[in-house]
Amino acid sequence: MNELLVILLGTVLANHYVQDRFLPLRPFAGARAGMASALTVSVITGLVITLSTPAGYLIHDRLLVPLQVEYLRTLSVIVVITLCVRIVDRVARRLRPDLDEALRCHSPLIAINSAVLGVALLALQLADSLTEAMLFAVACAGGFAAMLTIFAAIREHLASVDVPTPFRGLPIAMMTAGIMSLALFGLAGIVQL
Amino acid sequence: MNAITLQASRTHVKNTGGVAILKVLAALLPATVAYVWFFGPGLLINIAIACVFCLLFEAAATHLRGARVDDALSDYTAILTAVLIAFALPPLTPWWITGTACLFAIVVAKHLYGGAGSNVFNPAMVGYVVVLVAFPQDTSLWLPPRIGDIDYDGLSLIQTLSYTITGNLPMPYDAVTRATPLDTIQSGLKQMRTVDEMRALPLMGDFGGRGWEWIGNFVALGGLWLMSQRIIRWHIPIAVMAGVLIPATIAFLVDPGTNAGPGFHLFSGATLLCAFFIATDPVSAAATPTGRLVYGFGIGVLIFTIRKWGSYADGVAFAVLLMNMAVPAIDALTRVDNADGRQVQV
Repeated sequence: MNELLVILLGTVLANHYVQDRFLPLRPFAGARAGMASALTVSVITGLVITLSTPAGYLIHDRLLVPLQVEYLRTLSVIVVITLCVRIVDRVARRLRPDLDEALRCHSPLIAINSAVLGVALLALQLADSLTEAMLFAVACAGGFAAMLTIFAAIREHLASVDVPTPFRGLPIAMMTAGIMSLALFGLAGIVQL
Repeated sequence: MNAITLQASRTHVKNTGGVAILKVLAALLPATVAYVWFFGPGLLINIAIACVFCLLFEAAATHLRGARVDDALSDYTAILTAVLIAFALPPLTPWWITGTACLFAIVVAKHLYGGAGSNVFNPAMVGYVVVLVAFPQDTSLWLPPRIGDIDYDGLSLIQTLSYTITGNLPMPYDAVTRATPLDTIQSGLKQMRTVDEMRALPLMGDFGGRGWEWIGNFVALGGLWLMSQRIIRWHIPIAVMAGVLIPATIAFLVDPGTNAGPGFHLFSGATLLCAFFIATDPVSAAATPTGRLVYGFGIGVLIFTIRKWGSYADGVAFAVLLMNMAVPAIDALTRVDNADGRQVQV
């Protein structure tokens, strides 16, 4: 239990893989400004992470390890993620037809989203059981959603202020990601996974 | 619509900023005098250097952005940033460290984000965190306080000044500098010593470290005066202190051997300075009353978390930046109707 709590809290708070290791640079830059859009992306990405991580873990644990073909793990995880994105995409379109346009634009981005792949691969190294892999995935999905919402709100704010022309858009977003990483530096050492 | 209300209230703060910021600077005077009494003239030298750099960078950045330089300099925000940077840095700091902190505070954290009134992050804390992470060695030279039985080897004004300019001390560092109370507790706990053992050291006072707790008193005094002058409102200071005290009290009650008491956390490091002077910066703080409580409490909890489990001895600057980045989201999520929106003004 203790270990699970450490995984849950540690992932959301400190070892913020999503931010800390610069995995999410792509969705940050690609996501359209706006909290509503951020919410859609984080729900869908979160679903994909929570589905693909345990699935990837199971395939690695029950298939690749017994057959001694662990070197296929990156490939297998990519296949699993692509499948999960298709499934989530289909289900979401059926349940919420109004999201059709948003999904068409975001689904391919999520499939190649480095955070999804990163979390799935890290879970193979860090988790010792399927439950741990699932909790790890949920924590990462939560952390990712929080980060994405925070970042979208900052970008919305920046759109309304007088940023010097050469720094508008992407440059100031990158600067902000840099200062955020500095701030997260303060949490270093809090949880060792 | 509400974004406009919030924006308007921030502009309002900016326009009346001159007098308000002079009052904030005045409220820091007692703490400055106490600081100089206990730790020598280093703070004054740092304030002078930081003011020169901040005003220079402010003038240059304003000029480059095509605005009126005298307007920008006359609202005193650059001076307040300079003073807060000087308070954050140790009394012995080489001039180029202070200059780097001012560069990142004024140019990066303030002017790249649209200048006074629209910055996301607290400029002084960005500047301090940059030099703290980049130059850990040069930002750790804390002095022992001037108090009876501590072998205080006080540096003269000339000695401090010569270190600040040349980076060389007349005597070895170990003879002059000393771990801060927070450092002592943190490293002592890692060596399996109990809090009681360390509280018995001559460095420790009634609540926090000796000298430090007196500075804390004077900071709180200035802060209460600001509250009575309605420059700052009660939400953020109270929330920050509650955020530190509640988890600290719980931890202390559960295991007093490995947890410093709540009083120690309140009077050590920069807790009180943060509660009254840093977190209350109206531009980078949340703008709604509920948002301010969430913002302040978050800062307090993060300060405690970083002190207890993190690798930095004090977490004030990191905690403030971490909550700064959540402010736009907090504001968006705690937005209220226009009728309530008026409460937003500081």
